[in-house]
This record gives sequence, structure tokens and C-alpha cells, in this order.
Amino acid sequence: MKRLAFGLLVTCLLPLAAHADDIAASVRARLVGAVVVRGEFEQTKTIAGFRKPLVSRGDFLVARDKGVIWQTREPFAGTLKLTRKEIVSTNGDQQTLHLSTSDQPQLQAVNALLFAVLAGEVAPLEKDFAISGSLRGAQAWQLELQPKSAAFARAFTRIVLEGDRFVRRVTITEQSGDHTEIRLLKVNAEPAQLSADEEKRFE
Amino acid sequence: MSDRRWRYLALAWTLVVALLIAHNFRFWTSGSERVDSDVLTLLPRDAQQAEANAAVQKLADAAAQEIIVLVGARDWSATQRAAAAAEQVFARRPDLQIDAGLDAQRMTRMIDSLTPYRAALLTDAQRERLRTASGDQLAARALALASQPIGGALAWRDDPLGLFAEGLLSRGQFMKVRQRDGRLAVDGEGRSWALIRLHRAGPAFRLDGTTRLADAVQAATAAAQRQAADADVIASGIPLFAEAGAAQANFEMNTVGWGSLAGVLVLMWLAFRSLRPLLLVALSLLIGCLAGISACALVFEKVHVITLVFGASLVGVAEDFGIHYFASRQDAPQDTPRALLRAHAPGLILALITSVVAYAALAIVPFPGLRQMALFSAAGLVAAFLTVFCWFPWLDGKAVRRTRVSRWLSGTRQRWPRLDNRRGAVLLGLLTLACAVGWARLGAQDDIRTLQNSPVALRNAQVRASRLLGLPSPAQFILVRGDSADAVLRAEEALKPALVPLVAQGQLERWNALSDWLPSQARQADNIRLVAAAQQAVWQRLATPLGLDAAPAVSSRTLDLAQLEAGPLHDALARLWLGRLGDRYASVITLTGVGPASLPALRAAVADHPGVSFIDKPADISRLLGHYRQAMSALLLLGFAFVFVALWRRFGRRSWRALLPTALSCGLALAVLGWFGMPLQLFHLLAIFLVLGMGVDYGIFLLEHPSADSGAAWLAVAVGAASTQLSFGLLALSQTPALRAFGIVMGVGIGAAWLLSPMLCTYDDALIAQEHAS
Repeated sequence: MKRLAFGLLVTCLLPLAAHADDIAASVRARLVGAVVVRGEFEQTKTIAGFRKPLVSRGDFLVARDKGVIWQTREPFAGTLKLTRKEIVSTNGDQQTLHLSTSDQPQLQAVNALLFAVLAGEVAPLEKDFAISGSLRGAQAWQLELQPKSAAFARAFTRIVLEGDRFVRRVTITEQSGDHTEIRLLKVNAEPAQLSADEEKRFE
Repeated sequence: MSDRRWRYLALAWTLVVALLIAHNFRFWTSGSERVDSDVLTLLPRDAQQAEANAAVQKLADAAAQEIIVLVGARDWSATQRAAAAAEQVFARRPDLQIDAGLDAQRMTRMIDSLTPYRAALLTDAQRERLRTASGDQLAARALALASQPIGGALAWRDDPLGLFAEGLLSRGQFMKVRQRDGRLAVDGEGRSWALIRLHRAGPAFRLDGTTRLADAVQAATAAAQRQAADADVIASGIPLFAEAGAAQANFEMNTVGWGSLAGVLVLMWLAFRSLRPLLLVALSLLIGCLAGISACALVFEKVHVITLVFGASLVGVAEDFGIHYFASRQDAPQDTPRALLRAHAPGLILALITSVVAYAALAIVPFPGLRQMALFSAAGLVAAFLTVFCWFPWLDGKAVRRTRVSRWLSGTRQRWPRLDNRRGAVLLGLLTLACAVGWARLGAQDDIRTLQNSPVALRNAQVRASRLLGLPSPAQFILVRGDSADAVLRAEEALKPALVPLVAQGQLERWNALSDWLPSQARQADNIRLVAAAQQAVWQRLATPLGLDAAPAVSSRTLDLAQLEAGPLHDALARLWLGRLGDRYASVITLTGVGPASLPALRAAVADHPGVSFIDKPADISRLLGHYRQAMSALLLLGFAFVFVALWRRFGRRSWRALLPTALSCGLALAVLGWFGMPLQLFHLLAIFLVLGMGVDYGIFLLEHPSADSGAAWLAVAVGAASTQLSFGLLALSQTPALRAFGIVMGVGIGAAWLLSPMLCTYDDALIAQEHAS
């Protein structure tokens, strides 16, 4: 479940979120619609009982019709792959999690949600989340998502997205009080095609 | 007997009949289920398999009132509409309740109840991993989990390796059914199905031939199809089978019962042309039926439908006594009824005894269904006899007319061919030869599956539903026994490694055992130790880099069965835990994906484990049927010997005349089976017992009056045999293979007996005088 919510989060990075809301529409207008987005991330997680925050860094790749690759380089090597059919997590060279939508059909709902957002139809998002936010300046915006359904609410209480042409920062607050901040750096929508290597990573 | 004795006898019987009527009234109006249509109660109680029987019974009881309905269409939204329409139809029925599905709240409660024991509840795969992984690997994994931006319900500290969530996920992975838009859903056959669970409730089951549940399903199907044109509805469950069985039984009971009665009355009318004999014989039959029902009610508390169908054939047998009475009166109008009865009593009583003993032979086989049938018939016969003996002298006084038919029939005895002359010997020889040919072709068949008689449509629906839902096999499972609950769990854990290769080889899709969820105490302690060691390894490596506080203690609480049973997981696991069986405890490991080819491998896997047995119900019952078929064959010979002795006491050297026709008819009945290529089954053999018991009665009656001029005895035998043959002939039309077997053998056997008896039991007066003199 945690990984699914994480995947959901990732789709918000895609500059396509269109809401029935005014703010949602405005934010959408400000985002660059892109087919492929690449960049680096820096994630800082503050967990109760950890005197120091947990910092991880890596790269990400989001392709609208394929899915998401989230590759961590520090402090451990691991990959998270989300596609329409499955979610695979690898730690080092060991596969630690493999969920396919045929075995766990509820994944399908979330993945469908994922890709609905990708396609720009966010009616489902509207159904499961209370959306609010504001515009800042000429380019920037901020959105806050609060889950409506009990299942998502157990996972997190709030997600805050900030950005301009692309999403730049995501902040997630969990039920337990743990707090994660992900900063997206060197975000780029060019080239708009996936290279052969990148295609392979989605398999 | 003096006049007074007769009076007392009549009064005593009146009292008994009044009690019978009262008992029957109370029995039928008591409101609770009095008619049993559960097929399982017919299955044998093999003493050696008491625990297996109890297990099967428990599994069946759990599902006894459940009906599963699957509504499917190619498109999920169409399925939802169709399912909603079907549910509306079911909601309107008072005898059906819709079971709520597994909602999110219940899931949450279940998970929360297990959380305190999470360190003790590792899966086998997880145990393996913790044992073999290095400290660094564990630490890396813990770190990755900690880095996830969104954690689970448990804080990372409480489960740094994410074992609990992973364990729940892997255990639930096999469940094909999942939540979807507030419904239970499953995919298969290219459709999306919605599952509706129904519970049969409401008023007690009635044997009136209606198929209310089937009608409800049909109405729901129509409603569903109105919503979605390609909607398909599958309904399966024990109540549906029971209802179909009862409806069929009701039909056959009426056919056999009323058909036989009509036949008896027509024959009696032709023979006596008077209303009084008809009414009195009908009365004796009615009292016989009441007695049969009362006897079953007293001993078994319920009457099974199959008993009622078989009991309906009693109509053709119990009338023998009444017919004999009237035939004798017709022949000797000057004798008073009492004198007549006194004179005929020995013969009648002997006939009664042989018939009752023949029925009693059915009770030797430990099939509760057969025992009920035996008790019903025996009680019915005795009651009919007593009615004739005690009441008829009082109720009947006027002369009984001769009719043309009765005169003609009586006369045929004189013209009947004889077997004790040379021509007869040739005939006998031919007959024996024909029998031998039939016997040579006779095979045996004990497989209980050939006795299957539920409607094909229902069976197919059950197969489809089982496949779609991934249900385990209901007929094969592994029974694990132990001296305590923990011993049972330990035995399961010891067995499971033997099942793993079978899954790998494809002999078995998966198993489902209680110990998958609740390890034995020893294993739980080991799990806790493994988790503590793993966590310590993780903390050693991560404490400094992450700035962690001291490691949290690993809870050493273990889960025991009592706590599990009290918690929300109770329903889900109830089918696996049988509790106390006799002096031991037992659990069941259900198996999914078992095919006929897997059976030997499963037996072998279980062989080396004490207290563990592989139960294959159909094979076990088939073996039992075969065993009793052979036992009853031996007993049959004993039966012949017994009958011979009984006859000897009355008839001396003439006994063979009564016994030989019966022996020939038994042989002929078996030969007929062989001619038509029907394999011999236990029920055929049991029917031979009945042929012996009743066929010999004809010989007895004819020997009582061996002269060719004694037409009355022959009339009684002819009419009696015709009615018996009619009622068993009707039984041969039954859809139930066991009853059909009875009908065929009895029809041929009785027919042969009454044709052959006068051939041997009729001889001239000179011989009679000679025998009287000696």
C-alpha cells in the first residue's frame, strides 16, 4: 500500500494535473504538458526515533504511457518501477517486492488512477482527494491534497505539491507524524522520446 | 383363542393405532425440520473412519445453509448493475438472507488483532530468508524501507524489516476474490463476476415438491439479464442440491405410492368386486405406513426422503396379509373370520418373519439410509399384519363374493406347468443354463460415483463456481490429529515440507492449513528469536549512521488458538479447525487443484507422518461398498440356510419345494443383470435378500395348501405378487440409481418367484395323503 501511494504521488509530478477546481485548472495552465520527464531527486525523511533525518538521492524517469522509474543511488542502491501491470522493487540486485495487478487487483485501481492523471483526466483524483491550493506570483503554485478514502488516509494525511512549470517539491505528512520532503532537481522534458535503454528499463 | 382374548387383542391394537396417529400428528406438525434431504446422512459410518466422518460432517455443516451466486458480464459496470438487480430479487425472498461481504473495517480489525504477535507469525519463506540473509543484506533492506516516503500503518521502528505487512500480503495472495467498489469480485472465463453470498433462513424445509430456491435463482437470472444482456448467473450450494433431491423424491414417492395403491385397489376390485376388502386393505396399509414413520421418528429423529420413496413400495408388500385373509374367506365362506385366521396364522406368521428378517438384512450394512429403509419396512409390515390379525375379524363379517376373475385365476393353478415331472426337469435345465450365461457376463462395480444422481446442471454449476473462486476440493483433504491443539499444529508443520514438491510438480495447486496462520508455540518462539536477532543485526549497522535510539524490544507474546478463535479471524479459520474429535484434536488441511493423478502422490506424502491421514471420501465409500458387497454375498448363503431351517420346522421334507423357486428367481434376477450388461452393485445384492424373504412367502402359502384345487391360496399369491411387482417396478423408474437397482432386481425376482412357485408347490392329492400318513 505504501508503495502505491508513493506511485500516486509521483504522478502528481507530471505537469498534467487538471482539476474541475479553479485552482486545479489554473495550476494545469501553468504546467508544461510533457510526455517524458527526467531529473534527479533528493529525499529527506524525518522519522520519529531517528536523531538525524534520512536522506536519499537518485534519478527518476516518468513516461506518460509507460510508467515511472525511481532509482535511488545513495545511501543504498534500489529501484522502484511502476507500470500499468506491476510494481517492482529491487534492493541492490535482489528483488524485494513484486506486485502484479492481476494478483493484487486493488493495485489496478490505484494504477488506473495514476494513468488517469497522466492522461489528464483527473475526475478520479477529485473523487478520492480534497484539493485546495493557491497561485503565487506569475508562475508558481501550491496544491494541497487530502485523502477522502479511509484506505489512503491510513497511509498519509496530507500531500503538498509546489512548483511552476514542473513540480519542484513534494511534501508528505504521514499519520505517524513522519514527514518526507522530496525535491526534484534538474527537471527536464527533453528529449520527448524514450531512448532504447530507457525503454528496456520499463520491461 | 377365546372370544375375550380376541376382544382384548382388538382393543390393544386400537390403543396402539391411536398412539401411532397421535405420534405422527405431533411429528409432522412440530415445525422443525422433520424430513431430511441431506445426502451426507446416507453415507456410511465406517467405525474405523469415525474421525474422517466427523471431519466431513463438520465441513458440510459449515456450508450446509450457504448458497453462492456469481453474476458475471464482460464489463464490470454491467456486472454491477446485473448483480444489484439479482440482489433485489433475493432480498424480497423471506427464506434467503444476503451475507454482507468482507468490508474494510473487518479487515482492519483482523489486522489489528494480529499486530501484537507479529514477531511470532512469520511465513516459511520469511523464516528461510532471516536464517540465510547476512546482517548487511538485512540492514540494506531496513534502510530501503525506512527511506520510503510513505510508511505503512506500523512505524518503522516496530517492524524495521517490513515482515508483518509482507506476511499478510503473501498469505492473502491466493485469494481470488477481492473487494471492488464495495462488492466481492473475481475474474474468470473472460468475465468480471460479482459474488453474492446467500444464507438459507426462514421456515423449515417442506416436502411439497416445490423448488423455491431454484425459482429464486431463475428470477434473479432473469432480472440480471434484463440489466445486462450477456449476464450469466451461476448458483451453487448444498441447499440447492437438497431441494432438487427433495423435489425429485417427492415426485417419485407420489408416483410409487399412489401408483402402487391404485394397482392394488384395481387388482382387489377384480378379485373381490366389493368395497369392503378394498377399504380394509387400504386401512392396513395406512396403519403400516404410520407405524413405519413412527419407528423411524423414534429411532432416527428424522425421516430421510429416500426412506419415504422406498417406503412407498411397501404398499405392494404389506397388502399380502389383507389379500390372503380375503382370499381365504372367499374360498371358505362358512368359516368365521377368527377361525380362519387361527388356522392360517402359522403360515402368515412364518411369511411375516421371513420378510422382516429379509428387510433386517439391509440394516447390516452401516448405511443410515438403508437402516432407515429397513426399519420403516419391517415396522410397516408388522403393523399391517397386526391390523389384519386384530381388527379384521371385527371389521369384517359378511361373506366375500367370488368373482369371475377370482374363479378364473384360482383355476389356473390346475393348469399350471409342473417342474417335478420330466418336462419340468428339461425346463429347469434350460433355465439354469440361461442363468449361467447371464452370470458369466456379470461384472461388479463399486464406484460410488455411478450412484450420483443430482441434476447435471447443478453439478456443472458447482464445478464452474469452484474453479472461478479457487475453492478447495470438498472430497479430498488431509486430516491431522494430535493430543493437543499445539501437537496438531506441530504435525502440520512437519508435514508441509512433504507437500512442497507436489506443488512444484503441479500435482497440487496449493494447500491451506491452520498452521499457515498460527504456527505452533515452539515455532513461534523460534520466530521471535529470529526476528530479535535480525533486528539486532540491523540496529548494529544502522544505529550510528541514522542516529537511532535504542532498539525497541521484540515482543515475545505468542498467539494461541483460544485467542485466535475469540478474535475476528474466527470465521475465516473455522473450517480448518475441527476441535475435539473423540479423544484427540484434529484439523483439516484443504487442498486445491487436486486431480485423479495426484491421489497416489498425496497418499505417499502423508504415509510417513503419524496422526496424519489423507481422506478421499469417494474412494473410501467405494471401497466400503465393495467390502459389503462381498460380505453380503456370503451372508446371502447364510440367509438361505436360515430360511431352510425355518421352513424345515414347518414343512419337513417338503421345504425344498418352497425354497427352490426362490433360489431360481434370485439366480434369474442376477442373470438378467448380466444379460443387460449392468454391473453388480451392493444394492442389487441387498435386493436379492428381499427377493429371498418375499419370494419364499409364495412357496409357504402354496405349501400350506398344496392341492391344485386350493385356488384361494393361489389367488392370494397371484394378486399379492402382482401388486408387489407393480410397486417395485415403479421403483425401477426412479432417478436414484440405488432405488432403481432395488426395483429392477425385485421386479424380475418377484415375477420369477410367483411364476415358479406353483410349478413346484402344486402336487396331487395322493402324494399329500401319503405325506400326511408318514
